[in-house]
Amino acid sequence: MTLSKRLRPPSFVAAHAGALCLAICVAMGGVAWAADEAPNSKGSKGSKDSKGSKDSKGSQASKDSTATRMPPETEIAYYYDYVHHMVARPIARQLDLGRAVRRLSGRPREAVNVDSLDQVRLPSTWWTPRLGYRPVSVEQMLRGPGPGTGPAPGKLSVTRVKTQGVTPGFFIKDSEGTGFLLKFDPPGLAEMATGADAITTYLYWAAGYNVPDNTILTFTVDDLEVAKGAQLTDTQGKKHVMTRDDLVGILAKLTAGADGRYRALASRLLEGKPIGPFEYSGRRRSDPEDLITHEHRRELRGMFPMAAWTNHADARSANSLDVWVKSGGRSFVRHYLIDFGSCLGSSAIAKRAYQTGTEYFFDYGVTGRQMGTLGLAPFAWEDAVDPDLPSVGYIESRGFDPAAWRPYCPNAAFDARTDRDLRWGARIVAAFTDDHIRAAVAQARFTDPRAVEYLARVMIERRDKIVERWLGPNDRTGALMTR
Amino acid sequence: MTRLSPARSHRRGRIGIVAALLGWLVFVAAPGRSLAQAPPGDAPDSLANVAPDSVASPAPAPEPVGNTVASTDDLAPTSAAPWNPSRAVGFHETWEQALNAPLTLASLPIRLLGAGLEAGILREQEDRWIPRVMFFFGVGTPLGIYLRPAQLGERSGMGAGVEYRPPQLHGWLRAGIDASTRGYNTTRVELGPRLAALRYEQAWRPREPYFGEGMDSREEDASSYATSSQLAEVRLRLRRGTTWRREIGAWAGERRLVASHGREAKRSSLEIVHPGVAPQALGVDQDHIVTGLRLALDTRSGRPHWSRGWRVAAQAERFGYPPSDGGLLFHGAAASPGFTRATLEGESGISLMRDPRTLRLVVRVVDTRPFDESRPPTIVDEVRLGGGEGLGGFASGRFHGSDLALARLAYIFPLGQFSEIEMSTERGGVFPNVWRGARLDQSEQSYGVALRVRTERAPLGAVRVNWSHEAVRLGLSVGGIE
Repeated sequence: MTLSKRLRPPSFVAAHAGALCLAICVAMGGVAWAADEAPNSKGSKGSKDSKGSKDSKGSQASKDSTATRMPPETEIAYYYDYVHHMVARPIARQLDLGRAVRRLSGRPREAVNVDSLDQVRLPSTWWTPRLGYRPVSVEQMLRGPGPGTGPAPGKLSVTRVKTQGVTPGFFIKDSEGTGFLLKFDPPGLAEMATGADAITTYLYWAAGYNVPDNTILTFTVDDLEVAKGAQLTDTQGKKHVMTRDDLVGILAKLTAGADGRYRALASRLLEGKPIGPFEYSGRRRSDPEDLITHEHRRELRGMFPMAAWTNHADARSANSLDVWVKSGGRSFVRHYLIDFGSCLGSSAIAKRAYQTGTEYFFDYGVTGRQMGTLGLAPFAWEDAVDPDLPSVGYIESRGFDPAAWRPYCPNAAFDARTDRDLRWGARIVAAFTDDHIRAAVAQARFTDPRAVEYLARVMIERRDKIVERWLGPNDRTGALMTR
Repeated sequence: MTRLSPARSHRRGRIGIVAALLGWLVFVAAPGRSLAQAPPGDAPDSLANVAPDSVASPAPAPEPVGNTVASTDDLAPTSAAPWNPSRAVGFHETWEQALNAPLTLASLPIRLLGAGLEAGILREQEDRWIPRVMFFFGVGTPLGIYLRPAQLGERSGMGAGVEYRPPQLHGWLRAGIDASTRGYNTTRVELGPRLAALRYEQAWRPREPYFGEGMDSREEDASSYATSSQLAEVRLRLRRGTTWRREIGAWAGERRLVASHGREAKRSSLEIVHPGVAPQALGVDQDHIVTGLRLALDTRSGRPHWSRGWRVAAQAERFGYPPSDGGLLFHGAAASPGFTRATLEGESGISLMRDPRTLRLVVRVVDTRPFDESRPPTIVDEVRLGGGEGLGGFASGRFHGSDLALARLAYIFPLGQFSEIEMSTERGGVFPNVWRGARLDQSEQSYGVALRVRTERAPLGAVRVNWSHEAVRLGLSVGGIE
């Protein structure tokens, strides 16, 4: 009684409680609306691309606009990205009442850019219908983004070198003046990262995504020359003028083959002006053509089966790039996936940990289960068998569970996936024939035939598991129509 | 202005609340608010070959596509303006935003914190000040100068150390200084190869804890004292083997030690709280000729933490009288109490499963025997328990005594790729005579849980909680976990 008296509101509040409730709801809704838009501006987070008022003016997509202004360049805070997606966002997601209501009602939010037939509305600057939606021959896949021939014969002019990280990166120009980035394998794991990068590039292109033209290149020290004014970036990020001795010194830290040739992945520099990575959440608000928050894009949500298939655990902003291109009489942003060195059995600087693909770097579910069982519950990877093939790294198919696959850290678009998104992506994976897979694996130019055979077999078996999981064994024939 | 009676006012209030809630529910439950269900009319080029179905329905059987691709150019990305909805689509719909509004408001400080953190990290990326700082720390490396955290033990405060190992001498000269915010400092010089080296060390420890003798000492009797010591010795150490690692060590030298009143601000000095002990301990210039021998065998192995094998170590140390005419190097009193001390330690572990879940047992026994039973070692030479020295749930240096016995049982299990948990319990005590006087009912129990961050090779750091019936202690350690 005493308590109820204490809680009794003053008469004014009591009389106007309903109106107050509504007013508070509206006010909080307004605040929430504003706050909700804030994460959506993460395409511009921490960058020069954060002046929201101007961006909102471009909310009408202009299908024939040709004179749009280049969005400001953006940058992501790499470590914060991990913290945000591993700690902050999962907690916020669990506290999301809207999501809870949707889950309880069995009505998840579907992708926004799909038509009544559940297909991606085209055109798209993210994705092009290829395998699964159009026939793509093996030859077409191997041409990829084109021309797929690597640097032209002749001297390779080194214009810039970065020495940060485990392996260096060379920016070169071939004899025709075309720019490439040369990436190398980590010490002791020859062919692994470059092979994974080459294979996965072809697969993602055939799947419809925009990727750079990546090929395997071998060269000797004599094939390289230092371009005039070439710069060397040291471990502190300071730039110096590079000499021939610097170049030889850097190459000496790499492992050459028995024939004295160095192996690298030659990645053709993308045409256009890079404006920074895209995010799998929010949107680039300064781009008038980017009106759909990325979590609700079918191309990104539906990439999950591809990522699971190729073990693209590092599918995050850091491995993407938006490029301002001029093409077809207009200028616009095209969205690329880049840096596939951390796919298949490679983690770019080492071979894959057994845990990769089965749990996040910090996985609340796995951690909770382990705490609850005092660690006695076996991990999903504990029966894994390492193929012991240095050029492959660690990837396997026996314990592969497509639905349980996890990237390194939660991906906002993957987290928003629904069954429809998964079936859309699985259909693409299903369309890869054994010939496509074997041809892509051959592009790694592994010297060990066992590596070629093992990786092709594993990829075929992983594909079949994806098909069975999301398309079902009975629908497999129909799904594989392009075979 | 109409004034409502209280009863009527409350009734109207309740009606208002119910109406608002109903309105809210209708708003929340209103179907078809999603832009995902936008009309399909403006889909200019969709590949319409899959029938829509509900989420719960079985996978559709896709029909073959009629399109043919004449050339690779047809597969090139388009330059056409992309399809877009008529207005920007946010992550949440309006009703979801309204529903989340209270939490959105409540989380505003956290979001601001996150934004600040993000801006800071971005700034670091642009300015690269971490590599620059690291470079600063490494700038002396070619000269053999290294900066590192201080190694001064528990309760010594924040500290740093500088080491000097000139590369020209190939490691034959090692010198270092450590200092901390609580006034602790150490200076060390070693000359010679690691196998056999001359060593000099000077240390100042101003806030050492003392609670009284034995297990009956009381927490309320906390006091502090300071020690100043010098040590000069010859040390031999031989290590062999990789799987069965054998170690033999021997040392001989002279130690001078003087205790004085404590400098701990929050604790009274020893002479105030324990006046009976102070005369023997404080102001006495103790000088000992120290000789020792150590044998150890270690078969432990495993990653990321050691998970199998065992280790045994035996150490004997003699704190003898200096020559009657004073010390060899230092000139302390010749009347210091002499004693010998034997330390036995054994450790073993077993594990199961691939990512090891390991059970470990450690036992340590220390036996001190004075030359003259009537002149036991002073408190500065007594063994201690509490904190990192054992019984982690008690304050550092909580128990002082002649001998000790301690057992520690730990279970380590993984939480994920980069973390593991260590649960442990310790039982032990200090005793006048560990072989005849050690009793379980006179010992103390402590418990601990540590969250350890690890790589696939080794643990990197740990956050610990230790507790006992007296205290709960939090600890953070980086490096040197195992």
